[in-house]
Amino acid sequence: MFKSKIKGLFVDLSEFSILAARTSAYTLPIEVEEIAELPLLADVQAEDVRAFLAQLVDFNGAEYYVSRCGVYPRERFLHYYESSSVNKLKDLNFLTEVLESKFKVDPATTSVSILDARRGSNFDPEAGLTKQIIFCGGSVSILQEVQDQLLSYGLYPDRLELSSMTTLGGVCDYARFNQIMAPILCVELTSQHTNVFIVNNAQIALTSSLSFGLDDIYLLLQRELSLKDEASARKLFYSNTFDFAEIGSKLLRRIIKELQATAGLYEVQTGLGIACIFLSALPQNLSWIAKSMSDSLGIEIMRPDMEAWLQGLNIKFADGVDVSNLGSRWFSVFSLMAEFQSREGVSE
Amino acid sequence: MSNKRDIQPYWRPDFKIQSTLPDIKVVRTHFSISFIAIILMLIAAGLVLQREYQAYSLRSSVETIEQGIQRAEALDQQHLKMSQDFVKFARSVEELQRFFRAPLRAHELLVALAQLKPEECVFSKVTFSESIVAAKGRSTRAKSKAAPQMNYTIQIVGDVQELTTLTRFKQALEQSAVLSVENYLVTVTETMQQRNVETGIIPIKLSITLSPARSKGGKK
Repeated sequence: MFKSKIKGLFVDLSEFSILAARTSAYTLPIEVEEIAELPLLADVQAEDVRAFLAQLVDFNGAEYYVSRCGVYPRERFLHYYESSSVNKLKDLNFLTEVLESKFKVDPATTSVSILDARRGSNFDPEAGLTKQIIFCGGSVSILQEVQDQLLSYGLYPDRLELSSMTTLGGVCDYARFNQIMAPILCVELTSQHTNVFIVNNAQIALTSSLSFGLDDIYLLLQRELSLKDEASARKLFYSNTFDFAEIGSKLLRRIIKELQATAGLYEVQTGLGIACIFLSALPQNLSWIAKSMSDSLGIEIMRPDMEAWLQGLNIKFADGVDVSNLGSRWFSVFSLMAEFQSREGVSE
Repeated sequence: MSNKRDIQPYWRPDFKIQSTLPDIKVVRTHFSISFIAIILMLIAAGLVLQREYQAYSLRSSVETIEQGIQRAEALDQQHLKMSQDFVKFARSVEELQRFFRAPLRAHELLVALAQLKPEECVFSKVTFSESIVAAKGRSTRAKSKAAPQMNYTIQIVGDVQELTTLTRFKQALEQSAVLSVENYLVTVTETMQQRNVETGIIPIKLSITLSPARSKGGKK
């Protein structure tokens, strides 16, 4: 049959970098032809990003390239909720009330999506077959800002997804594929927040957000090393010149404490021990954070075998693409390509 | 690019704000509208041109027909004139036919009248006329079926010195073989005026009528 000649472009835009992958097409099966990363330094301009993307795909003189994007907008939320009964969730007013009272989300100014926490499908209140749901979304105005930012880079978002949610979906699918039945502790460390999730038996079982992020670590680093200001600390933090092996646990003390508390409580409640920790989004030069957390919590770091996992989702890699050393941050980009409902064992 | 899917990919909700995205469709809507407008305009222009062509064709046909009429009019005038002449000649022919159809020959009658006329009698005017009389019959159907019949009248205007001359002339006329025409009755009537005192003559008028015979029978 005829094959589309339009190349797929999948982009993950975080505060640290732009991860991009060119694929043979958008529809499965697809082949990842090339991947590239652009660190987002302070002086990176929209033109630089466009030039970076133009090396990956041919704009053909067009203003925009249609792409599928994952983003981390400020004030995004991802809440797990378990209702006492299935029937309660059939009432939209009840769902609105939960959002407003429990999670302090104003449905009028936010874009909200509700998913079935067991398999990630869109929650259908009329069908109402689950007690566990996920509320996810973000402020409309901030989503608009991010969308405009993508447009300024020459990216036309055919899909605009929350990378946090998509990556968690990837972790659930990875656990299902590898039959990891023990809980996985997922951590998403960003400037202002640390989002913590627990994936158990290929389902999201817990979500939590700590109001402690990298910005707080810069302050600690400044104090610990007696640096003159926060900017210097930030610069040092992202440089590859400093060995954080010794100081790392001190900087992450608070986060680790919170993680221990969250994981401990979950382990007590369920009687299940956390099998591994998975850190998303962080760039390569901050890989010490995962190691530090792993050491402190006494759990292994999840090191996904991308090629084997994606092959089962009809996603393959071209010969020139080496995925053996890709960090876990790439999980988000590949999750953007996947159709998790096609995985065997996931019912419609 | 993106196919509409009935099922949203699991774990991957879409938060794109479609309403604020630029229009990047290859076939843009406004272009389609313009294209449709152009097509409609072309159709309208085509219809107008077709109508104009039809009108032009009709005008040409009308002009051709008018020229034909003008040509035919001259011919028609000629034919009309010929027809009028024909009617005129036909009338003459008809008159001649009537003249020759009459039971009396005018020149023979004049000769006969001149021979019968007494010497004392003077003719000032002799007229010979004919008239159609309705067919005799009881029913209208019979009347309509019957051929028209003719009356012939000979009028003699003149004068005499003595009334006896008139009587003698009348008798001569009534007995004359010239006026004896088959299937016709002959009636001779005379009218006279008073004698002119100065000249001593009496003006007279004699009417000889030949009317179709009603039934078998001879002349009176």
